[in-house]
Amino acid sequence: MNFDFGTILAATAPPAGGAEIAQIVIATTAASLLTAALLFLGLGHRTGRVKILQRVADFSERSSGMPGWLAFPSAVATVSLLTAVVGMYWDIALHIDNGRDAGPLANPAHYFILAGLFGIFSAGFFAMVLPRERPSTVSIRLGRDWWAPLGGVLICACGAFSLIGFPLDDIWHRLFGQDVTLWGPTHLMLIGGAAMTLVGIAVLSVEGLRANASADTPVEELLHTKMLRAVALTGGLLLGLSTFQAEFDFGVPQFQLIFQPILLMLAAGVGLVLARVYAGPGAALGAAGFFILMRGGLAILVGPVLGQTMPHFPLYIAEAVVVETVALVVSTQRPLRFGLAAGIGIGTVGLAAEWAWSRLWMPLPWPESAFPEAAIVGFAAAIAGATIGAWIGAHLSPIPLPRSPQLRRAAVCSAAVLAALVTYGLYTPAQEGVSAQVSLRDVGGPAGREVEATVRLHPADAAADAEWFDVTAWQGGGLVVAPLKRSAPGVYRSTEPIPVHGNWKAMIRLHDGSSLTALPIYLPRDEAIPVGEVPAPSQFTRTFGDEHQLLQREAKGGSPLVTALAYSAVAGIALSLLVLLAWALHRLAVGLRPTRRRVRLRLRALASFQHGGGR
Amino acid sequence: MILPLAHHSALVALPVFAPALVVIVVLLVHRLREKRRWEEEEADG
Repeated sequence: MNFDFGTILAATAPPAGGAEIAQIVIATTAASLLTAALLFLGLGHRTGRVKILQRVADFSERSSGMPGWLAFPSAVATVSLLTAVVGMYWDIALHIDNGRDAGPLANPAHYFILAGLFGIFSAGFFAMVLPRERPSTVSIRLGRDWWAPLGGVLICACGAFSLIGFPLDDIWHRLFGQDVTLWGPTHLMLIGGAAMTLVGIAVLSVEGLRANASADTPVEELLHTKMLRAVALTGGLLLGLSTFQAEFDFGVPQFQLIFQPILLMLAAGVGLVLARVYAGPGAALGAAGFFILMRGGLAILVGPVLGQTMPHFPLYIAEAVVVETVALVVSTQRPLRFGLAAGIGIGTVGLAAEWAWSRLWMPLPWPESAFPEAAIVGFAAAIAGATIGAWIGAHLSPIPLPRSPQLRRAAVCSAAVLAALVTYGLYTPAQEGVSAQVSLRDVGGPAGREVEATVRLHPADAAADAEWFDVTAWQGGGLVVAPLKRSAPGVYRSTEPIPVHGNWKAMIRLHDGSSLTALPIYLPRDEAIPVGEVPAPSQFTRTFGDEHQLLQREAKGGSPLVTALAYSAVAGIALSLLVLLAWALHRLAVGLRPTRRRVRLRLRALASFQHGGGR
Repeated sequence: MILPLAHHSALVALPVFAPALVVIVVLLVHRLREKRRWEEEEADG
């Protein structure tokens, strides 16, 4: 199993690999107990023989004022998501700093991730089994007297989607070796499923709000009660969407720099516009505040407290201010117009603010040379994200908004734009013919040999307009990301001591245009792959090559047919989840809105009531 | 004790997904059985 965000950003399995039998016993026992517990609690509740769930749900209902089938599963899902996200960032930091684990359960962060994802799945299951009556008009019928809330089904599906990522990840690594990146297809399933859980919780919340409404207390009067919940929900979604940026947050991205503005603007567009449409005035600012609070806490926890490399994070404050300001001028009751206007603001003012923030605090500041490409793709992503956010927000609105075919078409076009942006960003032909003459000077070091590097590039202007040109050293007990400083035409010096001993992997990385190349300074011998050591003599000349071969030494190629089948299978599963989410949002919006058929039925019922002398 | 497995062992990976798989199968089977019943009841009257 690789719940390896371990594979995610780190190196390989230990030499010879292996899973301790104790770990297999632990995993199997835990899985059996959990399955038994879930079925005992859930099916026991349905038959009325087990009262535990009902008691907990009643307590949650009394405490929150919301239906128990919303309050209790929401609490479980929230705690689980927080647990998983702590585990994820801790795990990434551990693997960046230390490389691989001795085994699947040899890393404490893995327990947090597993517990979190199981918790998410369990929350969805509890939501599905808890209601005694039909919880909402959009619920799914499971038995003669068993209706599962739509949101519960979604949460369950998202949790299962994440969990199936583990065995698929294993198969992937057997086929292609470890893909030491967050953006491996199966890794994206793990975090994507967890992030999409927030949509499920939002759907569940809308169902609960409608259930609480009555003739005396319409939904409109209940909206204020959901504000705090909605801010946490949309802030959580912003947090979830931002997990895809983690490689950039740690300073070890393996993809083009333009992906950072694309992902950032996408998250801001979707999360903040959705927040404002779904939850009303102040919600975008609240979501950004929630995000900063959570990510600030995570940064402190992973960095100073746990002693690992600290994950940095964007701010989203300017984007939130833009969204709130636009909402003063353009009504959120017209989601398409609002989304487009907000997207323009996010893609300009917001992007500029994040650009400035990257130069203040992010590990890899955006250079001038990234302009205008990064600004163009960021702008496009902001518009696309804001449109999709408006579409989701309109569907989640507890008060049904008028149906808008234009909004639906715009959301579909936005998805196509995003797909095009990703495809464009993934095209990275390696620049050939660049080499460097490197001189290393020993500077000691507390744990082993450390050096300063002088790098003479050929051709001399190869890094003149580079997006980044730095020394990266990792997996030997920490992380060093230090820019190379130009001292003469074509000559650069390192700005921090570079560790070249033990398990450290040290290299010079050059990202110029769409090319991502690297040159090894020192790489250890690794019997598990197997590969030999790349030594670090005091003088050497080496050629820059495709950096994925250095960063992902463990990866191995597969046949084109197997590769196509594997990608198609993962893409198919991911697409299924997205289709399920879109269908559910559509069902929610249509189910809350009186259709012609429902109006006809109501009129018929009224007529029959009147004829029967009901008056 | 180390089993002669690759580091990323399907043997360990399967239990991770097993609870979700079992629960989903149980729910699906229940729904299919019940659906037949409620459809028959609705057809009867």
